[in-house]
Amino acid sequence: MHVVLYEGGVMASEPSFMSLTPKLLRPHIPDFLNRRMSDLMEITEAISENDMPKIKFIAHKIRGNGATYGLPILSELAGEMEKATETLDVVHLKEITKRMFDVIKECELELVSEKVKL
Amino acid sequence: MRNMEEQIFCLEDDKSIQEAIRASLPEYNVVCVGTIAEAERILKKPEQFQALLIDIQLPDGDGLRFLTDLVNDERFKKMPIMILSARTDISNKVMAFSYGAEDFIAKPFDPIELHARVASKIRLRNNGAATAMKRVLGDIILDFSRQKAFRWLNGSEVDLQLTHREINILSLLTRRLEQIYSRDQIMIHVWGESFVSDRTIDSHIAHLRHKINGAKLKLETAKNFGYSARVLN
Repeated sequence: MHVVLYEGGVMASEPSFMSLTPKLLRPHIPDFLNRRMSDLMEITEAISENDMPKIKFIAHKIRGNGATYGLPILSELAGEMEKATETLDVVHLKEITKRMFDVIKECELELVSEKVKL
Repeated sequence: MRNMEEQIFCLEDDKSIQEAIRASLPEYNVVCVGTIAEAERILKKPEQFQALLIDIQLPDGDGLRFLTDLVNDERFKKMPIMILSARTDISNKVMAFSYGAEDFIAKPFDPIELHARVASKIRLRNNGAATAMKRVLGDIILDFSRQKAFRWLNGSEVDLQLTHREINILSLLTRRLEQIYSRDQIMIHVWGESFVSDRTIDSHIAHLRHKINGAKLKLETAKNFGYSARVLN
């Protein structure tokens, strides 16, 4: 759980990103996140080189594995990314990449805080 | 007795998906490769596999084209071949089935659904051969064709009156003797998509232990994890 601050100053909490991760796959989450981080770095490079087929290939892969690991947001963003490669929308591609980076970082923070609790 | 026959072949280049498949199919030995070239090499001896899972988008080619090669090969005629893909538009699904795939599993998949689909295909394939099989575990005989377990006692077979679920639990735990199976693995194997608590699993194990009490087959507890089976000499 992470705490969020609403406009009225009321503290509330929202479910963690990884609350949907199947128990069977929980031990594989650190590797999963490392691989996605590498994917995003490759995507960033491919955006700078305007290499749309490569971006599409990696995005397709993330669309196929995100929700399996309980992270449907990653699959959704990757699907959006695949579409953006068709319209050659580089600005949107950068935005999506940033959002994906944020999700991965948030998950990594959750992992760290879980370890601290243990 | 170790059952090392149940192997699944998987052609999938995404390591995370490979790991998810392995975790979803804990009772099978899943052999994964990432390219068609490697697949061609391993599949020179296809008889060792019970089922094949094939991705469409691969680094060195198209999984659907590879599928057509397999279905045209006599050795794969009776083997369930399932396509696993994130290309979930109708045309790809129809093409996969028309090329000879037995199922189309959409990525991202749910591990429980993947298990249910693969196990079902393997069960159908083995219908007859596997169901006629008996497994001898010391003085216990598991008879899959009759879904019964017997204990050899004073020269005759005594029916242990196991329930269907108890047979399934024994079937899993005795696939690989002394291998520890987690409660999650037992849950998926026995209850499929239904969620049951750890207590329910423990309670079934307790009943099973009671019914096989005194036999050479022992069910052992791996504390806070699961169970394994062992046959005393």
